[in-house]
Amino acid sequence: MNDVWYRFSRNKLAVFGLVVIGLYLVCALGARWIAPYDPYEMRVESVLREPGAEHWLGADPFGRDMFSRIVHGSRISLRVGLIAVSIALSAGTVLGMLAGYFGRWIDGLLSRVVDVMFSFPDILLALVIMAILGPSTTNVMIAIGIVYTPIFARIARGSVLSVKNAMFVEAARAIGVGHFMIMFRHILPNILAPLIIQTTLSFAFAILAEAALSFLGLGVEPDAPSWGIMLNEGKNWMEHGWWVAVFPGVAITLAVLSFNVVGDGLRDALDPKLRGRGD
Amino acid sequence: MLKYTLRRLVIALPVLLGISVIAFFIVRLVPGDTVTALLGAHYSEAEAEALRQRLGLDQPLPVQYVIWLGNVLSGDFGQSAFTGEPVLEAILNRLPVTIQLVAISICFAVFVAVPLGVMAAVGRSGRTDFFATLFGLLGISIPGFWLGVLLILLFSLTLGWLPSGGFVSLWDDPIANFRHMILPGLSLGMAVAAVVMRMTRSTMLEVLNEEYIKMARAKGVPKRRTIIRHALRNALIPIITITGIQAGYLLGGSIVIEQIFSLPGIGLLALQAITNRDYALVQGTVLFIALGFMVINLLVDLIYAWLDPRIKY
Repeated sequence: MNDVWYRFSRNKLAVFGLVVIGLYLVCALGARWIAPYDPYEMRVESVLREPGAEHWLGADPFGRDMFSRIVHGSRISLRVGLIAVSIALSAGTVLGMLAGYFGRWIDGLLSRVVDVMFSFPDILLALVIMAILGPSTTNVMIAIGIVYTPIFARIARGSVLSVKNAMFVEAARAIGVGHFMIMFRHILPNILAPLIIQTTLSFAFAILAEAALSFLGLGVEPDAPSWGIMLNEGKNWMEHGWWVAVFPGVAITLAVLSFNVVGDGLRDALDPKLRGRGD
Repeated sequence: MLKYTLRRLVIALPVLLGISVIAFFIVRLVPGDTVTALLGAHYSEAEAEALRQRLGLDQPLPVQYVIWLGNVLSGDFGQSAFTGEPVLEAILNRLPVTIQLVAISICFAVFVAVPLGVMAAVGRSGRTDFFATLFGLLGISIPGFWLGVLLILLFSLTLGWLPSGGFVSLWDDPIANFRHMILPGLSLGMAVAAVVMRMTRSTMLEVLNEEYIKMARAKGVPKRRTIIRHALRNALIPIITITGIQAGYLLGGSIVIEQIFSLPGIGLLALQAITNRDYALVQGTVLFIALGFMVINLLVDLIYAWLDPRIKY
């Protein structure tokens, strides 16, 4: 573990990403105290106010403070990311492990289901699921969680296949350890590295997907301070104030970039053989 | 190769069936009733029942699925509830716009990413490499829809050089068409360019360390020739593969980009169908995009197998 941390800490970009994620986390947890204004409060005198001392990142067409909305937006993005990725990680890992470990018809069936789900572009599948469930933060988490489950299932299946005939598994089987104990106590700890890397990278995808769904009007509740919704509103007013379309995008990009570089850093630290690989 | 192609096609069949099942049942899960959506606010129960019978909605779901699949296979995807236009016609009318958008994005990605990736690998750890790495990271992190908004802000609203949206057919006015497509193409192609650049750089780094490259240099082959004729040629297979895979993803990305730039492509059609709850159109577009995605992935696998003689199938 110390080796992994040492290798990770030598990657300056990854450490930078971790610091930025930490700052987002602070914003998300302390939004109430950090944001100078109520993110929903409309002030007629502040309509499209330029960035300055009163409104650091300006105000939107409804006179709401952009900085406060972006700070509160980090709550939505991180919460959606955390829960959506948790759904995908747990469901995908269990399904992938079952397929890889038991093989035969379970593997055949689950692999075909995964193949079918992979045949739909992520955003299309998420859009259709949102059309069924209706726009809300909880439903966005479920939709993104479902969309990313096959990725984790495929990774878990492949990893299980590579270790299921290893000596330690044979030994556990020989002394009569049950299947589920073997899977979760012996195999799972040995396939964690690729799952951890994918978890970090999926956070970036989940934040992007939430922003895209909200941008299209099929994401979180329409009045929520989501970065995607802010960007959608901002694009209609950017002729009158560039800041309404620029700052929400900066917030999304910085968050996605941070999770991407941390994911890359973790991949290099956990599996040095993959160092320098683009994809 | 023929055996491999046939095997891949056979494997694709259950996936195709799965796609059709999802496309059919997904619409049945959407809240609301097709009949009430079609009849509007004022209708009698008898009218509703008659329409339900005419549409076959009174049959059990598996029967409805078989009838629907039969219709789809004979080219009848139904009609849009809002415009009355046949779904297949609506899709085929908008297909060229999406194909052109994806083609421009791929061209942009390849023409920028491959030279940049090669230069980055050749001058490893230098300035070009730093710039290329930054480009790669930003490219995969900047959302296409934000890039589109920024490009409109700069090139349309501030400089006034290019239109902020709309579409002109290539056959009506090629120059106007290009002016309308360049910003959407760039917005959509940026992420692909980043992925292709990262792949080109890492593959070239591996190939440049091979013995045959050192041998070529030792024999006096000029550096430029070694890079292009020997290294890049061998690095091309994974680059082509990743580009092909990305082409599939662009079909999904086109949904957001077509909405921003008001491009009348399949992506915008799918989005409008979903937001209007136009069920037949949702089924048709979802089926079509998923099929396109699957066919592209299948072609990529086949091209990969065809290009690399070392792979035995």
